[in-house]
Amino acid sequence: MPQNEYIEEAIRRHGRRMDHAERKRKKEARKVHKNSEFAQKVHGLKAKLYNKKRHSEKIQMKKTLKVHDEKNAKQKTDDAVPEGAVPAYLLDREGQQRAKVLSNMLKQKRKEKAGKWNVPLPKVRGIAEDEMFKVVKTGKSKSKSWKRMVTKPTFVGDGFTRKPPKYERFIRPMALRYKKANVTHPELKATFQLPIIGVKKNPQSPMYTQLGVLTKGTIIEVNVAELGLVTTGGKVLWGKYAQITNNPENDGCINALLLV
Amino acid sequence: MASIYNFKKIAPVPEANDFLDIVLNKTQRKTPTVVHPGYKITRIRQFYMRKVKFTQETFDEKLRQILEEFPVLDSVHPFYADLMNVLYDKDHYKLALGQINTARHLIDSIGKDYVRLLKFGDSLYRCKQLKRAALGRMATVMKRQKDSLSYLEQVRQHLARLPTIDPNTRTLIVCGYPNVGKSSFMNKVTRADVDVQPYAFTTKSLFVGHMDYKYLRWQVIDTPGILDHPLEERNTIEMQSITALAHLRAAVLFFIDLSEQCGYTIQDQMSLFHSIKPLFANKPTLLVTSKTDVCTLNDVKPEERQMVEAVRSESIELSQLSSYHDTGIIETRNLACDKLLQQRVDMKLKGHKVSGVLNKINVAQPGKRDTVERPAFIPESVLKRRQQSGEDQMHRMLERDLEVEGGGAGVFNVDLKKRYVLASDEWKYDVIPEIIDGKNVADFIDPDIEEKLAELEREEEKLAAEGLYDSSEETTDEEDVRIRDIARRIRERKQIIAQESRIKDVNRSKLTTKDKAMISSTGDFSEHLQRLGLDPTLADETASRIGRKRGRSESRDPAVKLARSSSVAARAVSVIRDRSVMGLKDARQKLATEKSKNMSMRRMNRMARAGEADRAIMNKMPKHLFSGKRSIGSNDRR
Amino acid sequence: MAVRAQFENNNEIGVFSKLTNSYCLVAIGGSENFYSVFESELDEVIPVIHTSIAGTRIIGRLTAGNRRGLLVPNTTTDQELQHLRNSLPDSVAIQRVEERLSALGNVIACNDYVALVHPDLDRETEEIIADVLGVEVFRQTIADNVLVGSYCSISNQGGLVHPRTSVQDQDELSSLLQVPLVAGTVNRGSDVIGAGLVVNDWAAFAGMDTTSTELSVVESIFKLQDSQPSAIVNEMRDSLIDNFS
Repeated sequence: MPQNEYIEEAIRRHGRRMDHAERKRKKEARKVHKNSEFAQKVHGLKAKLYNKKRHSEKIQMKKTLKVHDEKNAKQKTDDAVPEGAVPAYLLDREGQQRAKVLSNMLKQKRKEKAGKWNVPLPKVRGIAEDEMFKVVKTGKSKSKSWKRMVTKPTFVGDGFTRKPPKYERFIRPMALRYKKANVTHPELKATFQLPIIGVKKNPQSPMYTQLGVLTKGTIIEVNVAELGLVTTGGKVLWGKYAQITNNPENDGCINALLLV
Repeated sequence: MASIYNFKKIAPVPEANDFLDIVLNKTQRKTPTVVHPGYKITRIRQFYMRKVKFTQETFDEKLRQILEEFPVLDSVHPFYADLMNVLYDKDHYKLALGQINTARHLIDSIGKDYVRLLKFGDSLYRCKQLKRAALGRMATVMKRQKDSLSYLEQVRQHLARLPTIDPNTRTLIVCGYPNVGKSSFMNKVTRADVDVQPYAFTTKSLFVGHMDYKYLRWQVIDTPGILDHPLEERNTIEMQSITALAHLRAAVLFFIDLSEQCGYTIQDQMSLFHSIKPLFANKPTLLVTSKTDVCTLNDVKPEERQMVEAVRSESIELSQLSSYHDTGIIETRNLACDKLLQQRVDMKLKGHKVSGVLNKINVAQPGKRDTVERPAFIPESVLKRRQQSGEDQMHRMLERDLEVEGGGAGVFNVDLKKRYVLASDEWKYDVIPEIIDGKNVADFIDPDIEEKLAELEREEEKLAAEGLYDSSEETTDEEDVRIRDIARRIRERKQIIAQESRIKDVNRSKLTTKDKAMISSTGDFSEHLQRLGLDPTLADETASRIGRKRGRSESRDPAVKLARSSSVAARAVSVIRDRSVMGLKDARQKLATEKSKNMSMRRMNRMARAGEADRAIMNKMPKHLFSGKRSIGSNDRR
Repeated sequence: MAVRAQFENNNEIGVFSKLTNSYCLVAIGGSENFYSVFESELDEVIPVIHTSIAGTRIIGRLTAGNRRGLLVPNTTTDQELQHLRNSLPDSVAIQRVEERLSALGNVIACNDYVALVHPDLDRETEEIIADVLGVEVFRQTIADNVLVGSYCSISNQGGLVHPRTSVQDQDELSSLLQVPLVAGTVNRGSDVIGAGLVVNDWAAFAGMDTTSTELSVVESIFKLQDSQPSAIVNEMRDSLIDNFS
């Protein structure tokens, strides 16, 4: 009965088959051909997956190569020309510098730049009323159509009491009400899930602001007590504005950027 | 046969990425893939909801399978629970399974949320985005389980390779310091083929082997060596031994090496024995001194010998063996097995289950009920063969060998008649029909047929001898002659008929006699009558009158025409009858019927021409049913 | 000599074979392996005969017999009967029985001297059994099972009965049969002894699943290979207790 590490034990006792190394080598050598055959033959969903994988592999490979190249490449610099008298045969020589240092610096700079979320969304796409609202037909023979249902995520405050349903003009479905948002602090570069306090402004229309519709670009007020921010005066901040950066109706969640 | 712990059947746990691929692939394969923006929005929503729900269900199913297949530590035998704790760390194991369970719940709630959001999706694009977001979030949850999954896969692989130890069966446990000859003993008594090497800790985990003794199957467990230090300092390898010792009710064989070749002194070994002695409580224990080919108990120093022999006072037996010389091995094994069996039997006899097997260990001996001898019937040849058993057991040609020669099973046709016991061998393959002349031959088989025939012949001879068959004198008279004459004519006639029918083509399809009779002509009929000696004229006349051919009136016999016209004058013109009055007695009855008809038509008339089958729009939402408050609550008409 | 055998991967060999002291019937199977197990043990001593009964292979359950005779059900075809007549020695009487309980092997358990039969068997059949097989006939049940032939297996030297037979029943049956009896199982715990085991006075065949303990009980109780029934009480007692409870 095979038990415990029986495979290793068998190899230890009897060794591998004679041509193990050769088989392994051949298999390795044949692998590229196998892969290529597969890549040429594959289609459909598998092809999609395979190509995606291959694509990312290639990118990775290119990056690695580039890093290697940068490490080895030599670049010209003007300021590194040796001081003082130089023999004639060295006159037209320019100073050289390892590229690596420079590129690292650049990278660092780029990174910093990328980190600064200085401008949140300045512009938004206009949203027409018929996209925002769905007409709800009422009346005995469904002939009246003054009622509207908001088809975008909304924020409804805690204290909200509905009007009598018969006279309620705008319906905000329970399923589309949100209470929390994922807020990114641009300087801390960290994301927190914070409760929404209210909708400050919806750039589309003041009516949407009133209704508390959450669309891309909407400024919301979030409770930042969790973050422990303090004002210069030493007061604990708890309400802060944030701008929504995604399309909540498409994503099923609200991502926002804290305005600092 | 209480429980067989077989962990080999746990399905492999895929890595997080593979897991995702598997699930998403399945979604792609098992749900519809074609949707167009032109479809009705409900259909589009339904399409994407199905995808989200399906993915969530697949995740759920796969995760649940993992949770169900992995053994729950609280419900397996304590030996396995402890062993798993030692090998995989109970906390880690439980945590991993717990995380998988949480992931399952998270995915379920994500699925539910997004299905809800999809209900408000108003375009294909939005629905698709929501689906993407849903699957993406599920994938994120799954990716976070990467470590748990890979840990569980490792556990599974290790579990599957654990030896299958039945914790309840008859077991011998071999334990002792490293390198004292435990595995060598194991290899001698079982066929486990455990690795034996001249260094410590060759055996790094439990090994199990099986052997037969006293018609029973015994399990021998080889444990890794144990060193003498406190429990907390023991490593995983040693802890496996301790677990086995602690939880299995077995006979313990504690090995000590008197030659000290293992690198530990006798004193060390004995102190280990005493320190783990609590584990041997209530277990038959044997102190086995191994390697007696190098050093026996007589060769060691007297104080050491005394130390070893002191254990006898604790009802622990001593045994000596040498795996090198093959001495004492079987004795040791038998001693241990007997002690364990004795203990198990004693324990079982105390329990209530033993009453169920009493009849299996009781041989009912018959009391004499009469004086008849009932000897066994064993043929001489059997007894003879028993005497010379083993010697000239020549290999006979069996039917199986013939089969192999004849082309193997399915091709070879066994000869059933080969072994017939008949008076003559030539008869073996005689063909006997099943049925002769519509009679089942077997019904007429009579074993005594020969005798009966002989007797019949004898009887016949006797009758012949008595003159029964002698012909008597001729007697003739007038009547006789006449009868014979008629008979002759009948025979002749019969012959003629037969010949006539033979002349006719037999292969032609024939009409039935009934049809034939219908088309036989008048001529045939009169001929027939003539043959019978009757006058056919009258018949001819009748026939021509009845069977007259239909024809046009002009061609008819004027007399007949006249007669006909006069007799059926009343029916010459067909009368169109009013069906509405058919079957009615008089005018009064007719009026009554008319009235009732009008009554029944009244409703239909009122609806003008619309019948019951015509489409009618009834009062759609009767006011009284659709206004006001409901008994269950308010009437929300939003 | 107790031997393990299997009929086309089926352990119920008593269904597909019939063994007595003067002949052995074996079902016609797909291959000759099963037949050859019997042949190698028994041939040269008694005839081993391929046969079917009523076109089926379950001959062990349909027929009953001993050294003197063989009873076959009325469904047996004429050809099968003729085949049996031709194959069996003349000393064996063959009789077709008109009986409602046509699986004779299930309702009759017999050795060369005594037969146990199903309580509902016809009186005529009972007489035929007594005449053809030359046995005393007793209407009996085994552990409250009326199918006496299925739940026991007996020879002139001993008998194995259903594992739930009480000790009193065993004593009673034993005094009827005049052979030592023990309760037991075959085929790793199967209680249909008659289906898992065929025996005569010097040979036994059991299903392939039969454990060594079961097989040694069989050898002891049927006195095969010089073992005696007393072994069950003495040497094997501990093993049996440990194995079964």
